[in-house]
Amino acid sequence: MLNRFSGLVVAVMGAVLVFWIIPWQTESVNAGWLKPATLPRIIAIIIFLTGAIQFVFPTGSAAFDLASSLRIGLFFLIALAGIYLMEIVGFVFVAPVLILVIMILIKERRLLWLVSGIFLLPAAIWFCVDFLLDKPLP
Amino acid sequence: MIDVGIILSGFADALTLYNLGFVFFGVVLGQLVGAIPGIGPVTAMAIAIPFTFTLDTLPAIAFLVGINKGGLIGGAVPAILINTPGTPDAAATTLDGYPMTLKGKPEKALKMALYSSITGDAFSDVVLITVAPIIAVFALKMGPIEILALMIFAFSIIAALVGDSLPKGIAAAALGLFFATVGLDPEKSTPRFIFGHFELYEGLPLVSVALGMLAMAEILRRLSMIHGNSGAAVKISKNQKKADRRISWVEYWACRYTMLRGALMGTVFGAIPGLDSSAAAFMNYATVKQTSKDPDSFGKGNIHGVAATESANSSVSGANYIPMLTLGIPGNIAAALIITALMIHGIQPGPLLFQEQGQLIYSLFGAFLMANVVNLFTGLLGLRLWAKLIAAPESFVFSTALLLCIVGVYISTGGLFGVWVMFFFAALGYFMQAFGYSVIVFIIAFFLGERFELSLSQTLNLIDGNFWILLTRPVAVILFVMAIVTAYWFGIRPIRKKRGQ
Repeated sequence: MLNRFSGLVVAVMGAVLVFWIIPWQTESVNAGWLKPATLPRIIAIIIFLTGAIQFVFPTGSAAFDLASSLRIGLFFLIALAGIYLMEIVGFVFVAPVLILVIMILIKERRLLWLVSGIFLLPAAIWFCVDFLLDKPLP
Repeated sequence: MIDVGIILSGFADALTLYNLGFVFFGVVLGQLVGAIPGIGPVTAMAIAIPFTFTLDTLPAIAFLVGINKGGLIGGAVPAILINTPGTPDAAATTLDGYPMTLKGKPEKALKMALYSSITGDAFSDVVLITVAPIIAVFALKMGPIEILALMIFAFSIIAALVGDSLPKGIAAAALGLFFATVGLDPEKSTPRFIFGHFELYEGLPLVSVALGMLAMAEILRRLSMIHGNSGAAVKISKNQKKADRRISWVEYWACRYTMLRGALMGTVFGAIPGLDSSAAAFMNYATVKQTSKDPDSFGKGNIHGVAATESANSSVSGANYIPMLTLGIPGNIAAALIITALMIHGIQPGPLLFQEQGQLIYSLFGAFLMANVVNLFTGLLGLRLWAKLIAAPESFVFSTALLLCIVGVYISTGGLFGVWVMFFFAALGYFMQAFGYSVIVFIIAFFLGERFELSLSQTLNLIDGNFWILLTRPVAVILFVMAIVTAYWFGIRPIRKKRGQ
């Protein structure tokens, strides 16, 4: 079932590329052997065909689990929110909060590791990047 | 051929305290992350690449090579002590390494792993240094048609990595190739798939793609699996006999044929793109067991078992650089990451590298040899220390990795756009992995994509519609035939065989 589903997704992706994305995001050129859209179009057709074959004759293994994917999605969103806030507030203020939220979520309760993660780690990164390497942080 | 003066100056460039420092730092980091199950040297290399942006090419690559080589030693530590390989390469080491720990000889097993690993690695480095320039000389005689044939051959080699589903493998390769077409096209320089983001004019940032697919997806997955206080405590008994804590010369010499066989097998496996080191380790283990006078002792703590696996898996690493440096084809993820780092420093791996950057290449070879020596001494001093450090909790380790990835990509791409791209590829990498599409195939195809399109464009212009010209190029014809045979042999045949069974 999962294999069939992934085949369908890949086939749809290939079709979207062929009919929508490639015409929209490439320029038409008349001269030359390899036009800007030629190779992407061939690849997109291959993507569509392999997806269709996978949909009709599913092979291989898949280990998708919705519950764990949702949990990963949560961490993913937290990290994205962290980056968004870094753009506004800056790394120095956001990094400790980001680590704190992650540590709380994974139920890390040991004081030593909490302090190391929330304070020492961002401070060490700031020291190495901003101070030693003289590169700006987000 | 390359001037002897260039070779000597290259080695002289490498042998400075500054470079030694970076090799040492890389080896220490590699051994440490190799000893922590789950992180591994590949993730550490991926995270470290952006930070090497500020360094000169030689120390930067030497540092990354140090991490890679250090990881070979580090991976054996948890494999022997807690029956959990720190890296996939060390999986076979658990077979006899852990039983040796149960017998009260963990330090003996660790030291045998160290010595055999160094022996195998040194052997493959010598092969690399002697064979690579010869291959590069041949490769230099190739024109765009031969390079295109070589690219197609490289894609056929990927067939070895597609796993149990051919459509999924082809789809993964096609996706990697498609993402490589983002940016200006090679013939007309018109923008493609940039969606209004001018940052994409030069294509997707390699660092963002590599880190997203390889490191970030795994970091988020591991973080999501942690519940409560995590960590693996390892204790080495202080009451071991002296003989059980060391390897005598007699014991080392008794394993010479085991190690030589492992080194040969690993070097052959490493030189062929796509074949991994764990396969070499398991295969050598099986061969040594079959030919042993006492096969029943294997799996129960036979020191030859540890020597067999570690010499084989470590010798893959040096040989992996043969196709990478001479042809620009990454044989595995570590090689693909080294290519990323070289390209960040404005260097294109391939046959021209030996002609244009001969001194740098021999400096790198010098760094490889230096890394072996450093690996030996750091391993001797650090094995007990790494055993203690693998008790660091995953919560801390993966939070650290998360922040380092964000900061690293920000530095190397010069803004947060690269970080957003990294997260896009982290999501893609996660779903690909969950649904059984090979991330390795994707990454290798992505790396080859740009050169493939360029050589295709040059070839089409050269032959100008007359495809018979292809048949007048014997090297290209041989490579095309090899591509067909390889695709069948590694891709289609095993799947048919599996179905038949």
